[in-house]
Amino acid sequence: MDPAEIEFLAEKQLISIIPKFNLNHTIHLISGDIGPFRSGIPVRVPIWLAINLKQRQKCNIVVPEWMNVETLEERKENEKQSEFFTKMPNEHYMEVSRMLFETAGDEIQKIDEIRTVLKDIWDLRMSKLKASINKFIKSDTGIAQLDHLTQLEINSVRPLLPDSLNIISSLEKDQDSDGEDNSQSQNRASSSFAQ
Amino acid sequence: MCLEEALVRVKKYLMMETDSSIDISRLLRDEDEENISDDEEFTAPIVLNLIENAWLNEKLSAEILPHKSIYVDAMYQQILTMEDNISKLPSDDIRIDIYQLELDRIRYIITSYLRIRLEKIERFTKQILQQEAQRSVDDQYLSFHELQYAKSFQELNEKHLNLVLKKMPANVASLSHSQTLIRPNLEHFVFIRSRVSQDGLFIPDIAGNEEREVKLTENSQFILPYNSVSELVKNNSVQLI
Repeated sequence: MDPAEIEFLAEKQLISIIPKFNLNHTIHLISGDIGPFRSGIPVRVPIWLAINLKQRQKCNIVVPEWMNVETLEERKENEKQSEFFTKMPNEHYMEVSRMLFETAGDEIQKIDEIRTVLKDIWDLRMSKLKASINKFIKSDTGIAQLDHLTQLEINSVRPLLPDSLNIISSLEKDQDSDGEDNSQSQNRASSSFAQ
Repeated sequence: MCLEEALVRVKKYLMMETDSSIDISRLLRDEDEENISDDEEFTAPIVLNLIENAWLNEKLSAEILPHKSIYVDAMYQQILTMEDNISKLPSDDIRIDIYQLELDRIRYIITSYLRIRLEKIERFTKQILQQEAQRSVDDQYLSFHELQYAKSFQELNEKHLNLVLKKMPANVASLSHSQTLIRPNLEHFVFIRSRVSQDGLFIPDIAGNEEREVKLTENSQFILPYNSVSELVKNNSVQLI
């Protein structure tokens, strides 16, 4: 999958904004109702809309609660202590932060520090992921549990991991059947459809 | 296949599909009568969510999944209504951009979804048509127009191959059925998130020998071979991620 598509999915999440305009109607979007908008009063909208309004200087974005140095440092410590992946404050934490840094950088305090901690968390999780992939591939089992891994993290090992498993699996199977059933594996299209 | 071509085709497809006007909630209620209780409404956000899930599933699975044209049609109808409403707003209304932005997002998902299905149809035409012929009328994987498309694509393809074969030396001038049959690899590994708790799922090891029983809990995530969960994907118990 294209990372942009994962960002697209992340943009559906709701976030609080403080509008700089008044609109007494509720807006009936297909994905749900939003509004009414009162200048200075926080209201929940999808991220894609928040970014659009912010770019047009029509609102300020309320930075999500988890996006501060203390909370993230705590998460980072947890991640270090734990053998498994820990639950992230947001299932699209990287994408949401990236989008907000870009459009609402002026409203986020200690943005550089937050950026660093997030990068640390990402790196920690990535090295954990690499280590567990290594273990998984050597184990010869056909299944692994991946709780709390976010979509973007999963996507970072695609198509490499599934494709290598496919190849290992077909090699193992060919070996077992000693090539007697070769026609089975012929004409098979490559595995992943998601370019 | 170039992009414009695909777009034109998808557009045509969409136009054809929406000839008759459709009442979204009525249609959906007919279809999924057994799945919803009386007080549960099939609202636009729910349908949108279903389409988004279908899009992800279709994108991440190798085989073609049962079509969701009932949702797609309903959503397309919704988009047309919305566009109609937008045109009635005064041109300086702030809401116009907001509505338009959302429509663009939804259109992207629908187009991408239909395009992925067409790609699969073009790639596995023969196999898909074969399986489709064995399915009952109520259990068709292709929508009406997709089926038509698949058939005419198959016809053109065969015509083309035969034309080439005529010019080949006699000893290589024929193609057997199995030589032209392209199948998706259903054992390919996928990432899933389970929506339900489920016992008794048996997953083979990587050589396809020993099976291991696995218990899915709600929201648990796994990487496993697609064919062990293909039924769960089709009945919406499992989401590909």
